[in-house]
Amino acid sequence: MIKKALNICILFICTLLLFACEGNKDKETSELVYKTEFPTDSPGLEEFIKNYITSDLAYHLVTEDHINVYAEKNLGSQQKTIEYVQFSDEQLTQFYDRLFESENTKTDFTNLRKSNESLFQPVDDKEVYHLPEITLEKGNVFNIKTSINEKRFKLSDILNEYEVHENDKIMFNVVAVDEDNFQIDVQVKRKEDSSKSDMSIFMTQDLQNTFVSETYTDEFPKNIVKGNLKLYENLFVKLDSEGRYMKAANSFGIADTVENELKAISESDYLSKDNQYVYLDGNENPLAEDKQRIQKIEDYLAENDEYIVEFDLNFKQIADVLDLNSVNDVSIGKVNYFNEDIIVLFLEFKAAITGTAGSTNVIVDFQENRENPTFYLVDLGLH
Amino acid sequence: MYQRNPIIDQILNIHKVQAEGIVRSTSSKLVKKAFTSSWSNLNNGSFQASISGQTIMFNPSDMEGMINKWIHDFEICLEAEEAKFKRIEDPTFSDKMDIIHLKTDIEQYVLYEYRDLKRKIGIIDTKFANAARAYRSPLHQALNDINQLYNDMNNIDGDFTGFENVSVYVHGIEDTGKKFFESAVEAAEDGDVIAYEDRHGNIEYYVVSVDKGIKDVNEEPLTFERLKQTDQYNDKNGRLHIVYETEYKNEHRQKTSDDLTEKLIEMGLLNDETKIDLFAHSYGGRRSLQFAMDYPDHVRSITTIGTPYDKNILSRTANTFPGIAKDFFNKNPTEYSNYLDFNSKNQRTDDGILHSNVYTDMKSEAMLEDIEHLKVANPEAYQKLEEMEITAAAGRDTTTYKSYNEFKGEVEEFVVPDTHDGAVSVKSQYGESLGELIDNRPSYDVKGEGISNPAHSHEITDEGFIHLIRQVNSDHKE
Repeated sequence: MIKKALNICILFICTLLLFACEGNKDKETSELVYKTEFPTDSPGLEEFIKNYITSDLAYHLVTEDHINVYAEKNLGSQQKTIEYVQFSDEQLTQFYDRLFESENTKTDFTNLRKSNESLFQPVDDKEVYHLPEITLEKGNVFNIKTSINEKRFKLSDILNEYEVHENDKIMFNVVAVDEDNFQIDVQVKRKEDSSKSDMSIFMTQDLQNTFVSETYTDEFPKNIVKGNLKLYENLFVKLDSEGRYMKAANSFGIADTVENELKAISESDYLSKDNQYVYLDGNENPLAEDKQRIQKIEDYLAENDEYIVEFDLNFKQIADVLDLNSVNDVSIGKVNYFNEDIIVLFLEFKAAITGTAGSTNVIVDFQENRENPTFYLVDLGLH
Repeated sequence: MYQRNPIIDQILNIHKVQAEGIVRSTSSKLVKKAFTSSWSNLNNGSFQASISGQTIMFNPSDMEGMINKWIHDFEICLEAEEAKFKRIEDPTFSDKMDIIHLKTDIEQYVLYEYRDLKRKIGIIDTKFANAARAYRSPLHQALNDINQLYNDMNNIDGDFTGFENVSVYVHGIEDTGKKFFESAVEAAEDGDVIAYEDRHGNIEYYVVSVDKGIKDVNEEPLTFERLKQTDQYNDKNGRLHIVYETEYKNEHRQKTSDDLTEKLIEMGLLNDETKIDLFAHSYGGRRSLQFAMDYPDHVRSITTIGTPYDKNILSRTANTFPGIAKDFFNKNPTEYSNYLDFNSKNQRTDDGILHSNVYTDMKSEAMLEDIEHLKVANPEAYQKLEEMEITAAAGRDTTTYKSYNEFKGEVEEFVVPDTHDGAVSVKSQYGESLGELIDNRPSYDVKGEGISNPAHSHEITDEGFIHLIRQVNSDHKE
């Protein structure tokens, strides 16, 4: 019995020593700025919260005179129409104002999303924003009405290349609109073999011109180069000043109109919400520590070494600031949100031997100092 | 000769009548014993309270409130007598001695006894709580069974009835479900639904769509109302992945099994059509096996990695030295969850509270013990366990050795797999003691080394293990 107890003690002491030795790996890093409170309001924060509140519910179509207009997101084939909703910038700031006084940021932040439907109001006048009224009728027929025209489209006709039938399941969404055109994304699930296809239907507001293309395969750049999508180019996101790289709304495929090929962001990298920046290795989980690098999309696609932002990520310092008894490493480290002004991360810290030492979100704010951002360590419940 | 001031006995008599009433209303022998011994110490005559009720009614806060009132009565009495004494212009020696005796009798005798009575009530409260804790789990199981039976007989469906293939992910000791959520997303396929419930009861839903090999999972979680709009939910052709986070991170496997059962009944998933595939890490494997022992008809497979099926020396050490485990390793062996195992070896006492948790369990019981009991007590259930596909995967640390190669003139590195993952031996992870009950025993070289960054911490998100999850899900899809 005494021998057994002695063995346990020896093992435990050895473990302690080993742990103590391994815990002394200090890292040399520059002086980083940490705050353990929710940041004050700023354009970057507003953009982040707007995305957080709306992304599961709606597609952003247009913002005019501080009014944000969205198409509600259809999630399944049982939804047969598109609802348009809106809110003003002022309504948005009032909606999330409670966060700045909050004593429980995580709960209040989560509740923002849970109650997001109360922010959205129906669009009063669809014609002002050129919003097409679309209904999917029996037999997979689109009934589309714009301020200029009204017309019915049999999907088995306009999508005949994709073998769409009258009894297939159709999920559709309006993802881009301007005064001349609009884009409807369609997902077809065939009744016959349950196979699926995704494509985009581009239409002019007078409903006289229609073109169908996939936007995430080589079909997209080919159609641009051929001029098939010329009419609808204003709907696309231009990724560089020369207009060489273009991307359709709600798609990850980038058309290189010079090389006539589809470019994609590498699986390990992360494209910003505004499509203008790439966080190198930002899609890795866990994120690597130390130097983080961000490129403008045109530099990224040109494969050069120009970095618009470089900053340090130091797990040990973050764990120390939060007083987490961690081994200074993370088991989960991922990007929740990335845009020009703000990056939001989720970190779950490892404890010794097994389990977690705790977790946090990190709001990396570049707005005051791009070279030396401020790290807000605050649990928002994002993971 | 000194005689106690009669006013003390007058008040004690009033209190005794009230105390006898309390004892009669509780019908508890323990309570009667406590009051009787106190009144005996107070030397206030015999305590008359018969207890005959069938049900024990024990309300410690009411009793404490009554005793506090009695203490207050004596404090008021003493104040009044002291005030009376101060009004005497020229008190005699006898007057002075009377007030001193009264003060001594009340403060050091009566009030002391009353405070001790409160302490005895506290101990009885702990005893009752410990007894209730021991019977809570059987009651919970019985309630679950009644609920399930009621739902079956009345054809009551839950919100998720209709999903025939369900994966449940159970994390291990000192952990959350977040890593399993990451792996479930990786392993999920087209048409699947993922539900992640954290230990505070918040549930998030995600749907999976795959087109041309590209997987799309919603970035922000859906509410249940939004989930109901999706084809994945309405068709119910895909797999439902439930990432389950235990209410207490170090709760005993039996509590997890009881809670998980309740959750699955509520979701409408404990029925003949639904088959459950369990995936678990570390102690989560013991939790999953417990659930499978409790409900073998509903479990199709169990897949574990890093699971200590045998007793675990690190847990035993932490259980023995909880302070060190907490201060140096951020572990909490004293966390209790209102569960108490009947096996006295699988218990610990903290602040008088008996409880059982992951540490007491891994210190005292190998899973083989319960399996052997099941084999004798319920051979039919044991047979179902034998028919179940159980995969006990082992994660392994690796050690890199360097040696100088004289022929090549350079230092060469050799990577040799260890016999453990930094926390659990490969032998224990394989469940070798469970013999043929385990059908497959694959192993994975997982990144990590040493105590601070062991392979054990990386097993859930290891690519090999995720591939295994995907494989099991695919093989078992009906």
